[in-house]
Amino acid sequence: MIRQKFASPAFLVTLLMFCFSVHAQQAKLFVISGYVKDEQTGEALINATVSIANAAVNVQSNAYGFYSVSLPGGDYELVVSYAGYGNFTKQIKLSANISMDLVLDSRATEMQEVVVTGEKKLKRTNTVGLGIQQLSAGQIKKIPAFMGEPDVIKALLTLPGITSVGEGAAGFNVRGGNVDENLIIMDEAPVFNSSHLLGFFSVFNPDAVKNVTLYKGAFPAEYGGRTSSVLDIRMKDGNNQKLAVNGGIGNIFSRLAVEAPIQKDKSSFIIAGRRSYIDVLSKPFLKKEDRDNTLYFYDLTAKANYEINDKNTVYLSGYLGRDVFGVGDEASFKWGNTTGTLRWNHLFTPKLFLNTSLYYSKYDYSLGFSSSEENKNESYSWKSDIQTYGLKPTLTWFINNRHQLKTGFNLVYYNFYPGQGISTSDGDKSDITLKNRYGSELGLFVEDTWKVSPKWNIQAGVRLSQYAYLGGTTVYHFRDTTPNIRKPLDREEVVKSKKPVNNWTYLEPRVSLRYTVQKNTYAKAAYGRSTQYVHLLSNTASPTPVDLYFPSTNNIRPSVTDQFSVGIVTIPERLPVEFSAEVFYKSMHNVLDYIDNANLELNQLVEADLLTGKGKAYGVELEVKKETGKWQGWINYTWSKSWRQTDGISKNEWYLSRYDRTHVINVSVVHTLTERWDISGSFNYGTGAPATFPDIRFDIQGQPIPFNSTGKRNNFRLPAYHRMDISATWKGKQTKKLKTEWVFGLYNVYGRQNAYSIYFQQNEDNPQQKEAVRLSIIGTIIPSITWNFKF
Amino acid sequence: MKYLLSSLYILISLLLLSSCEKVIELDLPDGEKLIYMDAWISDKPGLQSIKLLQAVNYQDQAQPRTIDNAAIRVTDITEGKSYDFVFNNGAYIFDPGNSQAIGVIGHQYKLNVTLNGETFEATDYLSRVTTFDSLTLEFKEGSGDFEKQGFYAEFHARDLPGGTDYYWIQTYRNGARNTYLNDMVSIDGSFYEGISDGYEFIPPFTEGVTSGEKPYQKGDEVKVVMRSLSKSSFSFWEQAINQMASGGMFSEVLQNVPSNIMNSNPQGKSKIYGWFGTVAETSISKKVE
Repeated sequence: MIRQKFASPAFLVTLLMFCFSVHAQQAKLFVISGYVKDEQTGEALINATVSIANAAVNVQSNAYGFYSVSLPGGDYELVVSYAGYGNFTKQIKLSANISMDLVLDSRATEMQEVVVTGEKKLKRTNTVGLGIQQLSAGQIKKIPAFMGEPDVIKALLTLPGITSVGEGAAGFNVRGGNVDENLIIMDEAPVFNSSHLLGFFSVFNPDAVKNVTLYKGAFPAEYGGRTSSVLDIRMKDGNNQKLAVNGGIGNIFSRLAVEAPIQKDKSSFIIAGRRSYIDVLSKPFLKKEDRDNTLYFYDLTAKANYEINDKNTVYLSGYLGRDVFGVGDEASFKWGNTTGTLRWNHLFTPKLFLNTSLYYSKYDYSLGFSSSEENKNESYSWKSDIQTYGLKPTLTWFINNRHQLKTGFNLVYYNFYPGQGISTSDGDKSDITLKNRYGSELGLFVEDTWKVSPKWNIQAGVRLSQYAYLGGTTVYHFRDTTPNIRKPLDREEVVKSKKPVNNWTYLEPRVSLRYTVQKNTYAKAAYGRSTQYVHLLSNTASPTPVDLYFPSTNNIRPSVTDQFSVGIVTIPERLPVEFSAEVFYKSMHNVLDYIDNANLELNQLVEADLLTGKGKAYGVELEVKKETGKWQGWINYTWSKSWRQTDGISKNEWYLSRYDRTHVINVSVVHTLTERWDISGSFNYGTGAPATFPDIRFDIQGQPIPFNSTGKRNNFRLPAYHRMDISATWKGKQTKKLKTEWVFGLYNVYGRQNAYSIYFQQNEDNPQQKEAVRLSIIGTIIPSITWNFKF
Repeated sequence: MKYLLSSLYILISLLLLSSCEKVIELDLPDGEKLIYMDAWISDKPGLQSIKLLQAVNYQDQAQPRTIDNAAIRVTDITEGKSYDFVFNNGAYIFDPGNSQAIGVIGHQYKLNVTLNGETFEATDYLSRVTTFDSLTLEFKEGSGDFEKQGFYAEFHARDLPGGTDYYWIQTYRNGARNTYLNDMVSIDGSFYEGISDGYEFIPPFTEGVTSGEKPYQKGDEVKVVMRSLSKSSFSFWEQAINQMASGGMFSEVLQNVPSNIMNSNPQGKSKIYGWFGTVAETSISKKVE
């Protein structure tokens, strides 16, 4: 239960006072503002640091590269720094507002790009918040990858607090949370299924990704709707200076990205695509019967931007991806995401920046069987989708150098189409259609980033989140029963209009504090509450492409999570490394669970099979990172626990969730051998995932039915998971016109057969004998070669 | 749909050529030796038997221990007739005579068990069953481990029109269960309620009587048995089969199968697991020649 639906009004008032008691009443101030950009591509640079050395002022460019600094008149030295680029320095005589784009040259350090600089822009040392991890496209590409294909989500799995239930499993788990508790947004549009080929690859094309930020803790107030994490993926803008093409050819798929100016300096586009062809390549090696099978995926990512004038810029971006699988002409199965985002940046004044995003996202799948022989025609098909529409205006007010206020709202409309099954037989057709469900979500947010004193920084925000389960459907009312027994239907209520059937309002405080202990040593603390109104219904080992998203309804309360964290980060004086430690505690309410033998497929009354319970997770994350020099990389260790308690499950006791991985160690190292050779390696160790095993069996009608006499869930663990990967990159021709490289990779170097699951069966030839079988998704070492080019 | 997901997984493993399954040594602790019933009454004439057993450890090769001191009675509620089963050679039996059957389609049945002074009861409904049209065999050359050379059987049957019918399909080779296959359950010949009433059974079922790993060979006798189930017995078998065939990427987590055998005294401490079900049965068989 939620102990406190609304935070105290006193808190809100105090917060608002923070925000609006603007104290800039000293000398007259002037504003220097503009965008930080890359000279070669025109790409806006996110989180570049703009410093005014002689005024002790530091600000960062925002997600669109915009910066704004307020200073009294005078002479200043302005320095812009951004990892991977040479510093930009300019003397300024300030006597009026100045609008100025800061253009950085990456060529200055290009030869050593890989060698000298890390590319992580948002450092633990320069953020107020905790639990923020950022990866650039460059970093993602350096980590050894499965089948030689750099992958956003696989790269995230090398960071502390982020795990998955096994190789090839869809999605990822953050600090003991479910897969569906991650808000994954690509240019603001939510992505409901982040995986291709089940979970072997993620849907994000690294050639079109500019920046990846993951918030594990108290996320900024502008984000909401999920309880575990926010993964904010920003697509590349496209080169507005000249045509650029890059791509790669690997064992699994090929990539191609084209970017070019539409109008130099003003507008540009990028189109990036991938298509897998392992089904085509492997055809000659497959037996005749298997050759009719198809299995491939493709995706297309595109973005265009247009700078109307120095006050207005618009961006249009979209994604289309599909996985296609077929067994001869007997069965076919397709799934994928479609997203679209239209954004408008508007500068009211040099201090007032508005971004308005309008987005659409859809995830759908369809599957079908058919057989036609002897003039008989049998077929069966099923389809389902979820669609969302959203509007999110965000106003950033650079009040002065001590206050930056962000406010806005996010309106989301959900349309759930849980499924329609159609069956035909000899021309007869019948179908079953599950009722659509509708929901709307409104989040109002305000947040102030405040430099209280040279030692103290506060980021304090609040989000007022309101969700309505809408009518226009049949509302089912169930009677209460013993938990873990299907709830009996009490009555059906047809609600014609789309008025709210149920309404929930939550006030979500998000507060982060940073204290400067000494130069380059910071202590931090944070608290955040978040709520979630959409849930992925899945009770299998790994989420499948056909799992349904379902809204909170009159029968399913929204889930709410409170998270507390404290941490410390330091960069020692003489060492080029960053040490950090974070401790977190999460308390989760109304976490979804399922009755035994829940029927989640094509079930009109699916809500009768759902349970809600509590959860808690806590842990320590330690990390050492080195992001400069010939040797770069990170080592992290996480100790954590993730628990659940649901009445009716596991004797009502607390039990370990499937996402508990107690000890996790990640090591990632990149070494520059010579100008042409880079080598990298990574190692991952994790405690085996909890699993439920039987201890006795019932022989019923000759069938050995496994049974767990303890009645306790997750009473065992799979063996520990560990794996090492290495890769080497050889740079070929590096001329101005063409740059090529070969990437050689070995995944799972020592061929460990990590257990994905253990199941139990009778031996087929000797039914008396019952055996435990370990399934390893990757059972051998997997070599790969990829050729990348750029011109 | 499970069929589709598991073939998707097989295909991916085939393409990545890397997934593997291996029998491992696993020391499972001793479990509590619960008491359960294997009680199925059919419409077939002749002897009917019910077993009351004590479970063994999952990997124990021994047969479960029989419990012989119970009193067991089955009542045909519809007709008001009772049958007292007597313990004989490992099971409780009742023989109505060669041409007589206890089970009648459309009747409601009740099981009463008295054990160590406590009474238990369960009920089930005996549903109708369709008939097989034919069982056909096709020789295939084979194309790898998932489809070896041999004869592939396929049955043909049509769901009974009107009402929802639940079926349980078992396959035998030469008189013994085909251990390479799992039992199957179907609703109206497909997977879901309300979409295929009166239809032909769809391919995952009709082809599900042959294992590609060990197809039939000349001289083998293939027999397919179809039993009707009530909705609750269907749900029991659906769950039991899920537990027994829980391999693969999309396996459901282990959940204990339910029981419909209730202690007559709600405060009673003892519990009997397992299931009491009533079925109508039909079968078809063919010799591979």
